[in-house]
Amino acid sequence: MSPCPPSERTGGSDPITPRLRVLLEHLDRDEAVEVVAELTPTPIDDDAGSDRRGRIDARRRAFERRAAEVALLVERTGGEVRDRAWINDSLRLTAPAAALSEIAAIDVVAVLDLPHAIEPDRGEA
Amino acid sequence: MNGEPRRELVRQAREQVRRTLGGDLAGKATDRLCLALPVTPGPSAILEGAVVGGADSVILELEAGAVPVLPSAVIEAGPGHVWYADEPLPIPGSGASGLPRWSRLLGARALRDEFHRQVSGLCAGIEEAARPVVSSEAMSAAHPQTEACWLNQTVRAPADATVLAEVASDPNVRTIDLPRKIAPEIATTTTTVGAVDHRQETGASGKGVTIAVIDTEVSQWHPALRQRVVARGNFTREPWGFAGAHGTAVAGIAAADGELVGMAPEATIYNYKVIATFWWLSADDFGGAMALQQALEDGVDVANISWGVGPVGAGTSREAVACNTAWGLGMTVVKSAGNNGPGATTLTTPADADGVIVVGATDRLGRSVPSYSSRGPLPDGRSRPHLLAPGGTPTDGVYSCRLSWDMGPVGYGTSYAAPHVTGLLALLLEQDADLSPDQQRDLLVGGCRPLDGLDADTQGAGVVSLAEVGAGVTPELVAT
Repeated sequence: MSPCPPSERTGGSDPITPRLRVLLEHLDRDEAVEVVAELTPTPIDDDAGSDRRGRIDARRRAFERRAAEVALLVERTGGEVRDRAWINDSLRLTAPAAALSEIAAIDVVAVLDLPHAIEPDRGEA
Repeated sequence: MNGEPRRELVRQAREQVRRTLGGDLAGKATDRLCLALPVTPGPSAILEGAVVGGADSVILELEAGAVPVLPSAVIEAGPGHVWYADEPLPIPGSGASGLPRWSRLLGARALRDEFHRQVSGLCAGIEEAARPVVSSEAMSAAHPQTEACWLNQTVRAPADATVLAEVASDPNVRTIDLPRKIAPEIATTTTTVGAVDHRQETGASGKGVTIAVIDTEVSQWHPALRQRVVARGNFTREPWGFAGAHGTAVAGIAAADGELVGMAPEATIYNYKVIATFWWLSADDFGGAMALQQALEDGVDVANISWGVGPVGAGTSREAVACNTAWGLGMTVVKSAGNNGPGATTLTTPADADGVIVVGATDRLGRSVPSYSSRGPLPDGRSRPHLLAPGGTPTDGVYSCRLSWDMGPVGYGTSYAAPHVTGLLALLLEQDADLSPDQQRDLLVGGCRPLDGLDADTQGAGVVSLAEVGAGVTPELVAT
């Protein structure tokens, strides 16, 4: 089961989501912002075997190779990659607001977005 | 243990009881008691005064006809006073008559007295036979050796094998059983989804299976969860040490083993903290994906996520992608449908992932779908939820573990429906660890009981139940 094409995730060609754009309009150029960068889907390695651990390792390695380019640029702009989620091809990073356009222009970056809150599905009783 | 090996074990135990304690006891002892009796091969296998399976007493169920029921028309109100039911009874001091209430009270007293009179011989015989067992008179006085309940015509007797052999020959004794712990509430939902019968039939308990509770911090010190909760990852901005009610209840429904018993009472619980005591310290969707990722790397079998990240979409959200990847790599993800019903398409993401089991809620008895339970379909027309499980109602919540270290009502919501399914999967995986996530979902969907008059967008395949899945877990046999 492969992830959906990145264009479906944003619904457009601009990797920066509308709600992140709104936020950026209110930030100074040097102000740090925390965003989630979604990368294009990692190709699935058919030679990884059927062992769960082996398939996880193969997937993680492939993701790390593609994430390295993004991490390099983020650090060069004074930002930092804070977490890496190979499970859904995304990075959590902080970077100066002005650097986001440059990061969004990297080929493997499909989406730059703000994180979403999670809510427990409990009643109010 | 599968059904057939267990049946064979019971047969052997009963035969051993027959040889060593006699045919009367072998014929009247329940399976549980046969398995618990301390018998070993050989003619002198019974130790004088040996207790039964760690219990200190057994329950004797008497024949229905052992105690005659008084004719309903006659009420004995005391020595020398008999009223007939069609005569009004005087209520002292009131000048009025109130036959129904007086009838009940006096009738009950009469039945009680008659019952005690009739079982007094049996009780005296038991106490006499058990006398050598209780060496201390003080202990004997503090703990009466027999207790009789006239309401259901049973007698509690000492759990001594030699005493039981004698008692079993009494023609008024119909069945001899071990006492069972009272488990009134969680047992209701456990029964609703067929977990109790399945556990008894197969001997499965979730042992060796690891479930992830990706939620608040689970109380590691709750007596029903102790030594089975492992704090594996914290993705909130709150340190460990602040257990939350939500995750503790979710873990209890899936795997409690205490005063009340959850679905899979021997499953191991890996806890990934994504919800904090204060919402602003909780993890975001990235943290939720990181938690799923770590659970996958940790070798978890089934992950429970009783939370959402807003309305469903096309299944391309980050959390949906994470679920799909986890599913494809062998970790089953169980997701609550959401509490935004009864409107259509009110599910919360990642219910729109392909790699997930989406669970809507019923009342505790599995008879109806509360209005709050989110409905499908997905925006692109795919059907959801997959199935239903008990989530309770605002006036009748489900029971589980509480932060006060006891068990009781914990509220309602699809949050509490999902862990029923997570626990059931732990039972199935103990039987067959090679079941793929697709096979697990097919098995559950194939065993669901549809509710009358509800469409698939409300109930999916219906109320989940292991009753039809049985001991032989063979996905090929399940219609999908």
